[in-house]
Amino acid sequence: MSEKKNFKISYIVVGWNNLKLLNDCFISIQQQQSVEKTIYYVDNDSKDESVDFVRTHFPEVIVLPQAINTGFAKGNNIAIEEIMKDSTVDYIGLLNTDARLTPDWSQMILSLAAHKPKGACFQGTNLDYYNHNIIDSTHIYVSHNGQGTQGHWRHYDISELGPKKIFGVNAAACLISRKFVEAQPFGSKLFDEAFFMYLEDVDLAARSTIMGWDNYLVSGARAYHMGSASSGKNPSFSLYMTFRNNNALLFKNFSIKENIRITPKLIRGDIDTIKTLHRRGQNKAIRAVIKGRALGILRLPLYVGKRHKVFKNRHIDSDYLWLLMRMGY
Amino acid sequence: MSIRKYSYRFLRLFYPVARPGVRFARKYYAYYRQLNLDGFYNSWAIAKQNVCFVETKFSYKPLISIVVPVFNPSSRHFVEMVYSVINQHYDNWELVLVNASAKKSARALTEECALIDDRIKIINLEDNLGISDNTNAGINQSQGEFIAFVDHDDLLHPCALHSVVAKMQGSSKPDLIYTDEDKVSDDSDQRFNPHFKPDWSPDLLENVNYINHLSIIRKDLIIKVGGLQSAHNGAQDYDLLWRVIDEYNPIISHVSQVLYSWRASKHSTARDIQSKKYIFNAGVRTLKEHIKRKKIPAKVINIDGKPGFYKLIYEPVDFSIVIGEVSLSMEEICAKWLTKLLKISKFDGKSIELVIGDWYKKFENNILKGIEVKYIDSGTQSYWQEASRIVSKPVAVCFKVAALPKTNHGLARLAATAAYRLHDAVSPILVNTGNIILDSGIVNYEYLPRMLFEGFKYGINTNSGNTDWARNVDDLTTKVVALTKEKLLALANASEHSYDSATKISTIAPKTKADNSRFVIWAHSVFDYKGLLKPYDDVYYFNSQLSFLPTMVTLTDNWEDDYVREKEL
Repeated sequence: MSEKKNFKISYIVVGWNNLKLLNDCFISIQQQQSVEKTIYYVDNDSKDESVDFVRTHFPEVIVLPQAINTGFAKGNNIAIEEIMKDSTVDYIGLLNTDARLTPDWSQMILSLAAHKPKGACFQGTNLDYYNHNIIDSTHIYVSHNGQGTQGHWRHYDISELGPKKIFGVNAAACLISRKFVEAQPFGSKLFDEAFFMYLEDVDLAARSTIMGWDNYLVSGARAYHMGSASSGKNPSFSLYMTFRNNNALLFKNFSIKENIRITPKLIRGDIDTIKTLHRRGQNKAIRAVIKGRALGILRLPLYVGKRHKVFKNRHIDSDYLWLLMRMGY
Repeated sequence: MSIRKYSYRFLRLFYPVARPGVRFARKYYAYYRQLNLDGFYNSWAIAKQNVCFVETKFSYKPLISIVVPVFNPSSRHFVEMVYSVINQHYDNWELVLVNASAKKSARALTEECALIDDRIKIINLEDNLGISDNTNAGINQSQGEFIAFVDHDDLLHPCALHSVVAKMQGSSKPDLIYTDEDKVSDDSDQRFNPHFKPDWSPDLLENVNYINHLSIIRKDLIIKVGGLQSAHNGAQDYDLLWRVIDEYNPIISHVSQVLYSWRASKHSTARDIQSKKYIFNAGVRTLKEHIKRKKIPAKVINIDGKPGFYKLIYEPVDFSIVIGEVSLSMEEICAKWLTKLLKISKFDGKSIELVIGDWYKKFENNILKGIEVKYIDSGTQSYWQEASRIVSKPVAVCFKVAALPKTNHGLARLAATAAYRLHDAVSPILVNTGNIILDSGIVNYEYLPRMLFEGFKYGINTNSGNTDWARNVDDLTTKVVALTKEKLLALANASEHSYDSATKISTIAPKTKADNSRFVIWAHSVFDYKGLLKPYDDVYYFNSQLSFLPTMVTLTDNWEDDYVREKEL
């Protein structure tokens, strides 16, 4: 693998009413140096002129318009299924509409990925789009309290050098190896569609780590991320989805023993969240949290089969997993 | 009252259930206490665990082979070690895993590591050949210019190789580099017992293998000396270090950052040094070979009760005891002290000479038989010049303060150590009441000279190593110093300062120190400090550092009260 010099990357952008963001997003992909590339745009039934805009201004982009809003997870899966038909593609690049890549992003990541036969997902340092001195994320992980957490979120120190094995990558801008997609127990359905939105990347992160694959941070590669461009106007919705999917995430990927270790901290965390929202007077958000948690528990039977498949492929020492969950690396 | 009584009975029902929990908690607590956890250091180390210490881009990027002999590791610790290498900031490395595990699961685990990174090499051995031969197999298969030795359950700091390579830039390329180290608990939660090592200190290495981890050695030197020797299993790294140092005199460099964490697991040497006694016999053998190679006139002993620590006893020599100027009022007490000094000291049949001011003539009757006395004229202009001229023995132990050795052989062994050709000047450790160290040499730290271990108790473990390790220092005070006759002559006749007023050796004549000679704090000779022979009035009234005063007491009548002689080691 390391002998191959020119890798082919297929980038996927999933959009939903983000017309204003698309131009810069595609340009930053086009500017990627030294890689052979194809670009896919999955449009989740946008009401603005997104599809026409892409077709007019970026004719080389393969557009996959959907009749309904399929969500982030399914949107990506559709494109991944398409990409996997092309056997020359080595890596799949995921990019949110509100994320921008520096021109050497792919090149820097590939120079590390070339050494990693068991490398699943790679990300660079994601910085805040508006202030490039603040970190948006360096990795994501499931912390000891069961929550999906952004590593180094809002940290100021961007001086870290060197690659780092991490728990998982942030799907805002990442590279996924073809071999990992092929090794999935769910075929080309990389993201769990039942999640619809939020935590599907944490689920992927947990699954990849638990299956014994490696995810890496390549600190030198930089991407800029705005955050919550699609759902930012509705915080209650994001809270609902997060808490709903959190139950599924823990049930699907973690053993009973690990869940027992997590639960007391999880309950304490929930109580703290509700207290904070109450202090801020966001009663609607409190209802969303409770509803999310309750519905999440009711939806657990949906994941029994998936849990079974994940556990068939499980390949990690439980104590080492717990160590990774401390800081995410 | 009755409620309390019944509630007590009610709670008693739960005792059988709670008892295992309570026992477990006690055991767990005891386990943590044993580790001697240091909360302050831990938080400091955790804050630094991802810091990059060097930012330069390098012109010289050698391939470093990290050789790890693997034998039945704990899967979690092993995986952590592998990823600590994967996370290195420096990228030109290879990890050579020598797989000699007896367990099938451990073998499979090691083999799987090849998939993590294509810079990982696996060498499968059919049988476990012992740690030395396993490591040799790894060294032979490695491609690197340098070899780094790592144990299968330890951790490297992400900046470890990066910091080491930073030291290799520039014209003088070191052949052997070592870094500081600490220990990490079983669950990787706690960092403790750091060892901030001194720069290259051969006398300390003769005392204990302080270089240990992480050490990186040029591969061709290891090949030239024939790799590790299985006859020294247990102290194979100590033996390799000495052979490389003795035979090729490499350029040695020290990276003063904690870049290696030693796993303090249940059976690891890091936690319980007593658990592997065979190591220490191997260590003695190693040192015996070292002194044979270098023709050092000494014998090696393993210090009882302190496994892993060794002591060189140099061949006894004839020596002079030179007593500094004594003020008029102190003469009587000083004579008493001197009698005691000579009485308790054993000289192993060697002839001793006493060089002292002519005030001592009136106490001549106190002198033991066989000790020759030479007097310095009281009217002389320069006391120490005169003394250096009179001395006839090869070594002179010069006293400017009154101090008594804690052991019978303390004085003679100090003199014997000074006779070794590479020792420039040798001082004992001076302790006060309660074994509190007053003087154990001077080290330059952050461009300032500092009194090493001043105020620490003798024998304790500190972050800079034990206080009772003999080591090389940057400078010595002139309180009690053993010198060869030639060096005393050179120092006493130095033009810039005189020995009479100098408080530090190096201020008198820095040029007397040859390139490879060294100042030694001979910590195996501990002297009980009793007071000044000649009080300086200005010390009392014009010293702005008041904290210094209590140590500068004059020799008084009750000097004998707190003197406790210790068992000879």
